Amino acid sequence: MISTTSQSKFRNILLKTLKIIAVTAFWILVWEAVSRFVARDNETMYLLLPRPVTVFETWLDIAFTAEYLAAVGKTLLRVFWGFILGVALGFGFGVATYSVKIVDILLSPLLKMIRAVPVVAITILFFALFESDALPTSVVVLMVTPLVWQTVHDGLSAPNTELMEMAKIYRLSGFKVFTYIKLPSMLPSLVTATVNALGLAWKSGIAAEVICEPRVGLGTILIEGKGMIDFSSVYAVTLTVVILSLVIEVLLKSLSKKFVDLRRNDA
Amino acid sequence: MIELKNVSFSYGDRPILDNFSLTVPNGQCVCLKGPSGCGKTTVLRLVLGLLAPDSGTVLGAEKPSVVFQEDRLLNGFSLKTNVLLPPLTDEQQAKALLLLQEAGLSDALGKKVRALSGGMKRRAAIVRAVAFQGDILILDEPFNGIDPENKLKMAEMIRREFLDKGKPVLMVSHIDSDAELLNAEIFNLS
Repeated sequence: MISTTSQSKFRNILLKTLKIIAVTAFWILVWEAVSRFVARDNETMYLLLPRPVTVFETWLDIAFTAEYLAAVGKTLLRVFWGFILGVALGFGFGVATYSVKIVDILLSPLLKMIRAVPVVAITILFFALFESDALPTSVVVLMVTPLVWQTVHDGLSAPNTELMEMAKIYRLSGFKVFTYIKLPSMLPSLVTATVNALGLAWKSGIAAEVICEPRVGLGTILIEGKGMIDFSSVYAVTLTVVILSLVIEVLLKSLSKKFVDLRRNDA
Repeated sequence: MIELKNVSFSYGDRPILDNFSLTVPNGQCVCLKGPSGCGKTTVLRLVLGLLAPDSGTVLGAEKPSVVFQEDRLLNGFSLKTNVLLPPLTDEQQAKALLLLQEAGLSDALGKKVRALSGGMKRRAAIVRAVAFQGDILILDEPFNGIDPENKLKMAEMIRREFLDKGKPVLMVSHIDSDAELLNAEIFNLS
């Protein structure tokens, strides 16, 4: 006999899945309707806004070819390395600006400024400095670092008066204060920032690929598609990016949830 | 000895203590009582050095032990980690584990604090304070949430490790029987 809790859990998952399917179906229908409306007087307008079934057929045609999979792999690697480096640098800078006043005074304005600069501007500026293969990774690093830095810095600076008083009286070392109090209290917001940074990493990495056109990459396929007025492949590549982004985000969220739950100091 | 001499303290424009004096001799316990907002916790915080008086002198200790009104334990870490977190010698750490056993917490050493009951957390906070072996002990509603049997055990632990060793104890409690557990002299703040 299935327990009430299991039944309830199964029902919740089923409801959630049905909701996702219903919402997705709704927007696909809207897309279909808009596509037909745009092309109602001129069928060549389907080139600009292809119907969902056309995009999906194009995606099936290209998604499993060696060339496309190589492009996906290359883009994934570029974004991944940029993201990892960006998070590491952001974390390091956050700890540094929190811990050392002069570093805070010198570095914070620079990082705030970088955060405000648009992706395209940075990409064009970097175009002259980096070869096309390394450029997307560099752009991702520059986009992710300030976001993570701000979260770490603000998280470490946030007052946690009660625990800090306990730490003072019980003579906890700076290292213990950081490891047992500051870091756990900062983790939830750091996880959120990291997930947001991932979304930013994807967009900026592919935008950089579109501009610098590396030999192999999803961004290159996008710009080539535009050049050949093959918007079906543009949409198909976009679909790939969205799917990959969602999968990685779900994985990251569930991994980090386990880690955060283990270490949170709130009740 | 704990001593406050002619201490005045205000939070902004709100005076809390005015020319207040109190002495807790070594080996004795004083329990502060009074209505909410009369300054009991302020007195404790002054003795701990968390506040500075506007005037007067406060004699506390370089190394106080304290049980806060809130447990102030690290919920994401184990009971054992919490109690052993302060800088303790090997001997003090070994003693801390014995104290945890005495407090009936041996079976919960590896559990995260957030998984413990309120009474267990309270006992853990007391053990942490006792294991730290401060020169004075400050207690703010120390026995809240602890059942009568365990209250006796914890009171005995405090008596043995502080009062019998000639160290002063200053406490705040609304419950007369809790003050009686430590043979505390009542001091009414009004």
